[in-house]
Amino acid sequence: MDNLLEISNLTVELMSTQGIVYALSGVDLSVRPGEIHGIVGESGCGKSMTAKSVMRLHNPRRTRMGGSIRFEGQELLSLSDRAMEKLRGTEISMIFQDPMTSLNPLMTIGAQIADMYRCHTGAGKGEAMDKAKEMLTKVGIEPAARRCRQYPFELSGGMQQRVMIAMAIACTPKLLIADEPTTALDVTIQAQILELLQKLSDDMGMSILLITHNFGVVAETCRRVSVMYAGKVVETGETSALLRGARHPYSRSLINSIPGGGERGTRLETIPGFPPAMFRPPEACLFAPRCPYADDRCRAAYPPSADCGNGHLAACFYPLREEAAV
Amino acid sequence: MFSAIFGHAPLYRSRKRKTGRLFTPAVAVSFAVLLILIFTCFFASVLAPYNPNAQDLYNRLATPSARHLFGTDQNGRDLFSRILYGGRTALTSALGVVAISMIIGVPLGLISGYKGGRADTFIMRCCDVLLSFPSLLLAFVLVAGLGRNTFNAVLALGIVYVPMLTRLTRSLTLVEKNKVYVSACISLGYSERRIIFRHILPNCISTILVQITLDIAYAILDLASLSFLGLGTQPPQADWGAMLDEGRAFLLINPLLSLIPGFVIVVTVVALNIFSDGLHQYLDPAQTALPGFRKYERKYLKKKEVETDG
Amino acid sequence: MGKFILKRIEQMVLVLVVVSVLIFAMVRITPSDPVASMTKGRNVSEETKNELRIHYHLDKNPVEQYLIWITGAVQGDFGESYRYKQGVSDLIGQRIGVTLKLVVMSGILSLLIALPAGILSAIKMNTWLDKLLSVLTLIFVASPVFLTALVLMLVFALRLGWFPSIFQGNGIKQMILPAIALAMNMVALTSRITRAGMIEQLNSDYIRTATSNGLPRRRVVLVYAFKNALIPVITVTSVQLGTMLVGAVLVESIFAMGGLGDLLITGIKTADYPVVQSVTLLLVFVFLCINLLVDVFYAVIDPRIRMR
Repeated sequence: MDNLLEISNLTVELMSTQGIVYALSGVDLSVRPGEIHGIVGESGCGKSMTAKSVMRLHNPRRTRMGGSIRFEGQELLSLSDRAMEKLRGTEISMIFQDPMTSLNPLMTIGAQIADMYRCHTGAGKGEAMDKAKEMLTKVGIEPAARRCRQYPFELSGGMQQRVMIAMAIACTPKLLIADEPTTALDVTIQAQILELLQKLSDDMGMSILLITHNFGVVAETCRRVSVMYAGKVVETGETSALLRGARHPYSRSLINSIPGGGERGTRLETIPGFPPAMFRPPEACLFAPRCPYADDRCRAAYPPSADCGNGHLAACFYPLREEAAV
Repeated sequence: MFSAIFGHAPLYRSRKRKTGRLFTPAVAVSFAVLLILIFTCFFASVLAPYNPNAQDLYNRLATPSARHLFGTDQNGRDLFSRILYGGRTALTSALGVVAISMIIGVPLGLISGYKGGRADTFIMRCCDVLLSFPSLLLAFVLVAGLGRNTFNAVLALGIVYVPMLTRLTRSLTLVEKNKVYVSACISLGYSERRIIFRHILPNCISTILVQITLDIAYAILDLASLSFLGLGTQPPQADWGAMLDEGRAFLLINPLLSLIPGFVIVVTVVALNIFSDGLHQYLDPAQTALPGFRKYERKYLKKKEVETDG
Repeated sequence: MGKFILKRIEQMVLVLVVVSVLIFAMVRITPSDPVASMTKGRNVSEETKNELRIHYHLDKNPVEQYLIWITGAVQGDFGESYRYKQGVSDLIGQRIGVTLKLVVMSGILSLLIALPAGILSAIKMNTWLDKLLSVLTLIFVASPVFLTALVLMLVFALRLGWFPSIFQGNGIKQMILPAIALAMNMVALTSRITRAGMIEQLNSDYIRTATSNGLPRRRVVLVYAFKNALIPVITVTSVQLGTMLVGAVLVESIFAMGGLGDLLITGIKTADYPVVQSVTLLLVFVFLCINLLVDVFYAVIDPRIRMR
């Protein structure tokens, strides 16, 4: 089947006070229709950057993008701003991490959803408000009619996030990008939101690109997952396969460092060292300085993605075997 | 030049890290202008070719010439000398205004913010009352009561500027009060006075400083307004605002009499504004403007080329 | 909402009372004898002087004098001017039209220019247009109001003759040049604040959400961002309107318009206490009313303030 979203060799350079930062240096990622695909990685590895690139939310004067992002076969990076505006909200939508600040404090939530709907479909006020109520019910906010007239500051964090989701799906997009949607919420609400996202994906046949640093979230909801490190994707594959035995040393270490599951009294696993500063495009494997298996080959050139069978890719010269001991 | 801005980030960050440079081209020029101004006005008695009050009735309303750089006014007094002496008055008065407002306003704001409670409410109510006057109006009334001369104008304006400064200091203090180092000081048993003046104040100083430089500019403007109306410096003393007023009657004959003092005021205030902006950008990194890609690459990569070649 | 307004009016009255006492006291810091200056240089008998004193209530103690003044003021009688021998209320009535008209014209003019300029500057941040506007606003912020007025008068009225050089009277034609002069300062400041506010809003999260939902850019900027940016803008504008009240005094003096400004300044110079007190109190009253309107406007725009 054709990929809904295909990112190839995406590069993003940012202007900063310290010089040019090579935030993404060649990201390859694809999302299939109807699938929930996760992006995991530590802070600063470029996962949000990738998401924002798909939506082209960057400041054009400070950012330079290269490579290709194809949505349903159409190249997004060369689209005009007008055309991109049309896509956003109707075909691809995004929800963000902090729901409190992500909603307009001066408009009622009903008005915000309705406004979004009206701008895209030209519907009348009444029709748009009905749609807003319908959306609120869909995301589990009841009673919709009363909530419609409330302002964001009157709602709890979980409800605010639901409102954001309602806004995002009002025009039934094919792809929803969720940038750490649950990080700012407490655990019980997290579960509810994730459940909601899964339900919506099933009901609407909508793909979700779920960005998180929490493997637990990934394990619960994502069919496939990509692991990112220092601006590149280092491993992609089915979640179950990855959790059973990750092929890239970084993914392996990352999964092993999750506390819990070990015997009492055993040390917690950590990954020594720090992620690299990205002031130069990578000329070698970026994980090499911290990798226990690295050798000169790793330090000389960036490893290409190796196919470990079944479409499972790992960017390593020596991908680990499934049963390899840590 | 760019390496000064785009040097490498230090591994250790001091408490208030400043990015970029203070003396961007605009700021440097303004600072130079200000220095020249301060210098010439301070040495007015040496630099002025004539006594500013010396009348030369045979030479009234003269246009600029070699003898009189800016010409003469309606009483034959040399305009250039009057501008210099006027500048001395303007700058010292403005500094006086700011000094008064600082000496009263900053401690009040610190106490109000730190202690809270009734002291805070009382001080804030007083500020509210003072702030219900449009600023110059309060100065008018004070001058009306105290008498119309330079000293009283300075005093009046100083009082007028107190509420704003108090409010600013108070809000800064409120922010600092909740920081951990204050709790640490309290638990070490430091006296309130020590905490406020030796710990909180230094952290507020930079923002206050930016405000102060702006206030000097406003003071110059307000003092000129007062003198213009006859409520400040009294003739025949040289003062930019007063000179502007005196020159009005001769607008069609020799507009320079009014325009030159006006021009000098604008230049001074603009320079102060630019300097204040520069200071603000230097102290608050969020404000720095970044260059575009092409500009940066042209300069930075060129430098790298030079380095690798040489 | 009604309760909110009522509470603010209560506060305003309280402040006005305190302010009136303050004004009364401040004007009399250096004691002087108004009767003496009134009769200076004229041969007046002691009896007449005493009669004058009684007439102007100068024989009573300050507290009584204050009460007489303030109770009269509330009813519209501000006492009698020492200099003009007219009721202060009459004097004010003759001139207040000019001043208020000037201030209102200026205010509207400056908002009409400054708000779009600020928004434009923010959208085209750091382009040549922005830098040009930045320089222009800087110059006008630094120009004292009376200088702008002078230059405008010199260029447009005296040299170019586009405007008549007599500015007395209430007509729009006479007022437009002074209104522009008065407005420039506020235009400069307001457009700077608008620009800063817009930039801050445009960088905020909810604008990011609106953009990512595909709302047309124009709507995002003009409706979403602008409305949110208004709050700090309005704060500064209200203070600026106060400064404009005083600026009107300066402009009136340059254009010889016969407004409240003249009255006040002459009053100060001649120690005409009733005039000075009353005009000042009136101006403060107008200023406080403006502040009240602004607060109401806040409450209308921002639901968070309404519901507290």
